[in-house]
This record gives sequence, C-alpha cells and structure tokens, in this order.
Amino acid sequence: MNEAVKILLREVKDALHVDQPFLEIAIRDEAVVVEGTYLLLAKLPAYQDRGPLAEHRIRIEIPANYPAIEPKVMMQDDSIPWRESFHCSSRGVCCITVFETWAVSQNDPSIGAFLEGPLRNFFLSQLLRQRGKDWPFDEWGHGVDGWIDAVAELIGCRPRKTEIRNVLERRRDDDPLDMAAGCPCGGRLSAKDCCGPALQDFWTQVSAETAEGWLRRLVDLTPKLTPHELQRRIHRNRPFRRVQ
Amino acid sequence: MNVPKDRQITSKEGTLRAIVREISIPQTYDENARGRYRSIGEWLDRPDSKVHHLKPKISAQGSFALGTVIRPVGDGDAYDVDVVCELEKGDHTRMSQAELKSLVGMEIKAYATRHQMKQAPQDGRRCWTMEYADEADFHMDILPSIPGTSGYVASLVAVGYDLEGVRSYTSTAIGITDKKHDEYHLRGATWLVSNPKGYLRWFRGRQRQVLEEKRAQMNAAGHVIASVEDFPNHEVQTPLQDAIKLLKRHRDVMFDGDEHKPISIVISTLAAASYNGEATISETLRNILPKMQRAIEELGPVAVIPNPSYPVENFADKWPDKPVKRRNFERWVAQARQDFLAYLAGSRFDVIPPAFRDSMTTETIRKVAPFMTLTAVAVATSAAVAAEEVAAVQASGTTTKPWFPGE
Repeated sequence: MNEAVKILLREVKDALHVDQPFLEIAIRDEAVVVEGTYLLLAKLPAYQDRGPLAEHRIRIEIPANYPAIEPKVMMQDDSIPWRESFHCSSRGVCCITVFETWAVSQNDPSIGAFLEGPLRNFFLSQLLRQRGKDWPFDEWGHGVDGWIDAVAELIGCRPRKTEIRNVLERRRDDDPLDMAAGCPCGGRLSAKDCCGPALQDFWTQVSAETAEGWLRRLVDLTPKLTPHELQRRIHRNRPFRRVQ
Repeated sequence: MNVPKDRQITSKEGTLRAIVREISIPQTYDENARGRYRSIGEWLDRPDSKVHHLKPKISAQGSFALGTVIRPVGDGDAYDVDVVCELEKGDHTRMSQAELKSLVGMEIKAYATRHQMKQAPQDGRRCWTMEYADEADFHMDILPSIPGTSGYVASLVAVGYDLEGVRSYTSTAIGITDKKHDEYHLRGATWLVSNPKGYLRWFRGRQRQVLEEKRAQMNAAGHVIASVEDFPNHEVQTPLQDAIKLLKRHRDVMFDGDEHKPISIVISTLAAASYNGEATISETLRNILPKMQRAIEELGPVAVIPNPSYPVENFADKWPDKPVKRRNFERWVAQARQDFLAYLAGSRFDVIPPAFRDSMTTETIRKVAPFMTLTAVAVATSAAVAAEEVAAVQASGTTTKPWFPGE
C-alpha cells in the first residue's frame, strides 16, 4: 500500500473516529473512501446532549494526493435535493466549495480541517436552506463566474477572467512581483498602485505548478462554444471588420 | 413518574454515571471483600504465625486495586478478588517457590479452619484460592510473593532495557510462585517477576491531573491525602475508572463466557495510556476508544502490549498462539467505539440506541431510563440550533460558501 495513502487513512480515521460511528473508512484504488451515515453534530457545548441536527448518507472519495486534488463528496440518499440550486448535481455530487482557494488560504488544509470546515458548513447551510432561509455563509455564483469570484477574492483583484488569467500566467511563469513594474493583472497602473499589495500573499500561497493547474481549471470550466457561437462572438467584438 | 430533582438524568454524562452506578460493585460488597483480605493479613502477621518473622503484607491487585471492579453479568457469577501476599523478609536464596507456597498455604488453611469456611483453600498454579459464599459470592486469589527487585533488574538488563525509564517501579517488584516454573523447587533460582504496585502507581499517575484536583478539594475539606498514590479507591472515582468499567461491561456482554475474550489488563492498559485527563466519562470514551483502536491496528504481526511497570512482560503474549484473541480484541474495540458513539454522538440523551442498550444489558438500562428527564435544550429544533451553530462558525472566521461548477 502506498505510504501516502496509509498516512491519509490514519488522518481520516483520527478525524472521524471521534464522533462519526456510522461511517466506514477503507482504501480503494489508492484512495481513501468514506461511506455511510454522516451525522451533522452540534459543536456548542449546550447542545451536545441533543443528538445530531441531521443525518446524510454520503460517500467521500479522498485521493492519495490530497490536498492537491479535492475530495469528491456524493450523496447516497435524497436528504438534500439533487439540484443545482442546492449545490448538488443531478448525479448527487455535492459542490462543497471552491476547494482550491480554500486549500491555499488555510494554515491547516488537512483532511480533518476539510471535514470540520467546508463539509460541515455545507450540510449546516443545507439544513437552513431547506427551511427556506438564505445560504447562511452566502454562496459562490455557479460555473466559471463563481470560480473567478473565489480566485479574485483570494488574489485581491477585480473578478475579471482576463485579469485572473494574466495573474495566473505571470505566477506560472515565476515572474517576480515587481511593485514598480506593470501590474500582473494587465492593468495600466504599476503593481504598487493596482493589485500588487494584495498579490504579495498570493505569490507565496500559490506555487507556479498550482497556478498552472488553475489555468487548466479555468479552461475546463469555461463553456465550450460551438463554431457558430464563436463566429457570432468574434463578429460582436469586431463589428467593423469583415470576418474572413 | 415524578423524579426527585437530585436523581434526574438530564445529560448523556448523567446517563453514563447512572449506568456506572448500576454496574459497579455495591459499597457493602467492596467493604466486605476488603475486610476479608485485611483479616487474612492480620492472621498471617499474628505472633504465632509461621510467616510472622518474614513480615507478611497483604495488598489488592488487579481491578480491585485499580477501582474498576464491575458486577458479573449473570446472577450466578462470582466476583474475583486478587490479592498479593508479600513476605517482605523473604529471600529467594533461602527458600524455593514451592516452600513459600507451602508456608503461606499452611497459614491460609489454618485460617479457613479457624473461620469454619465451607471449602478448603485450593492450591492453584500461582495462587491460593479461597471461596467465600456470604452476601456476595467471591473468590479470593492470594498470590504468595517475596521482594523481587534483583530479578526485576536482571530480567530488564538481560534484554538490554534502559533502567532509567522504570527507576520509579524498581523497588515495588516482587518474585512470585509458579508451579510450571522449571526451578519451582530450587532455592536460589530466578523467580518469575511481577509488579502490581508499580502498575497501580503508573495507573494512578495517568490520572494525576484529575486526582490532584480531588486531593486539593479533600485537603481543603480537612481530609488530608498525602499524594495521589494514597487515594483509597472507594473515596474517589475518576472518569477513567468509570470508562474502563463501561468498557468491561461491554466486553462481558459481547463475549459472554468466551474464554478468548479481551482481558481486563489489556483494556485497562490501553485505556489508561490513551487517557489525557478528560474531566467527564463521555469525553474520556470519545478520546480513548479511537486511540485504542488505532493502537491495536498499528501493532506489528507480533503484538506487544508491554506492562508499563515491567516492560519485558507482554500482556498480549498469548496472541501468537491463539490468533483468535487478537481478532476478538480488534472486533471488540471497533464494536465498542461504534456502540458508545451511537449514543454519545448519534442520539438524544434520553434515546438509548438498541446496540448500546444491549451492550450494557436491557436490565441495566431499564433501571436508569425512568430517571431521564427532558430539558428544553434537548428538544430544541434543528433549525434553531443550526442558526446558533452558524453564528459560532461566523465568529470563528471559518465560513465557506458552496459553489456549483456545472454538470
């Protein structure tokens, strides 16, 4: 058995064995798989004798190279609606959060922190949402726009795809962050007067390889246009040129 | 049913405490057993006793010393009380194990005759066993022994063990009799070594934080306790002792009559080693059960669970010959974790899950259940509690937003 999977298995057990009696933890295909009934527990001492707030049958696949790759959380029952508006795909895949920005912004992105943080927050939010309340911690927009918003929040620049891509390309290419030079976002101002100060943390949090991965993710998330849609878009952007 | 306020159970901790009360040995039985072995001690030390000149001292060992005795599950089952009879002036160069066993045996037989006991003491492999059939049936196993410091040190040195780690346990080691020992009849031979007082010191040491607090309280109330080692078990009960009692009850029910059931000393050792001074039984169980399970899973092919006070002694030494013992232990600790957490995490305090009820026996739960009294907190709606939990997450700055990447 791969050593990394063994360590991950131990971390998952340490995180779940304390208060999740109905989750089975096993290794399958070089990943740690957690399956069974997840108890959404109250953490406030006053409510610890109350019992779980909700129960969900779920399956979590945690890849051996966690946190480089995010865990996949799937519903095994209909305790939350399998609908986009509930951040659950029609195949039951839960969209817990924008994992990559969460992982790089944490001092401790361990699997225990993921289970206690984003996973618990997701089901806590679902409980209130199902009772007609707003998402208590807000929600990211769907699709690529939400992803861009999340990355922009981390980077500290405007949530525009071009600017995000420019920053990621500069980081991927390991360009030094020169405050006197032009801003990595591609803006006309110097880095110092544009996104530079906010980008300083980002330059240390995100490695060149991670930036490359995020660029691929951006491409994957961007909806693919049909040739006809592409023509129309080019024409719309260049109304005075003839399209050859 | 109107339950007096002081007997109401309004939390899981309250339920666990009530179960512990039900499965514990009644105070009168405990005093009775202690009275019996003190009486034997006085008999052995009377002026015309054959061992008087060797300064006999009687002390409890095993669960009686640790304060983890529980009632047997079946009505007809008897309690076991293990005691050590140490002849402080005994010397292995002047007597063989057989001579010591016989010497102590003569006095014990005389005691039985003098007290008109129905059954004569039985000569076992290591102990003399006396059967008491009064208010509570119990067997008393009396282990004859002599000081064993030299044998203790020699056995540790022989395997290259660093004595520094066990210095505080050296003086309490004893040499014990064993009929199967090759040199049972030989004077000057090496004896088997044991260290029940050292183990007790280690066990108390694991609870030092809790015991120090209790000691301070008792000292303030005018009841002076010199050190945590001097605590009489009946005067203080710690969360670790209570948790071990619950685990032993779970084991007894799961392995009813099975000779390969997990042994108490392994349960006590792993539980105490995992204990971090938690202040409640529920916290203790939540902490020690995953750690015990992990400790067992991480044992190599040849399991070694050393006696902390005598590291060459392996409490799991029978596992290689009887693999079923190891399998049973692994099965039990996983089941115990699941059954206890099914209640501690998976249920409201007044709803006992079937698996937990069965593991403590229905009879026990039936005695506890009528005292459970609902509280406003216990019946608060999920949405109301979730709103407070959300506020706590926001206050901690660990919020995260859900997202939908697309189908």
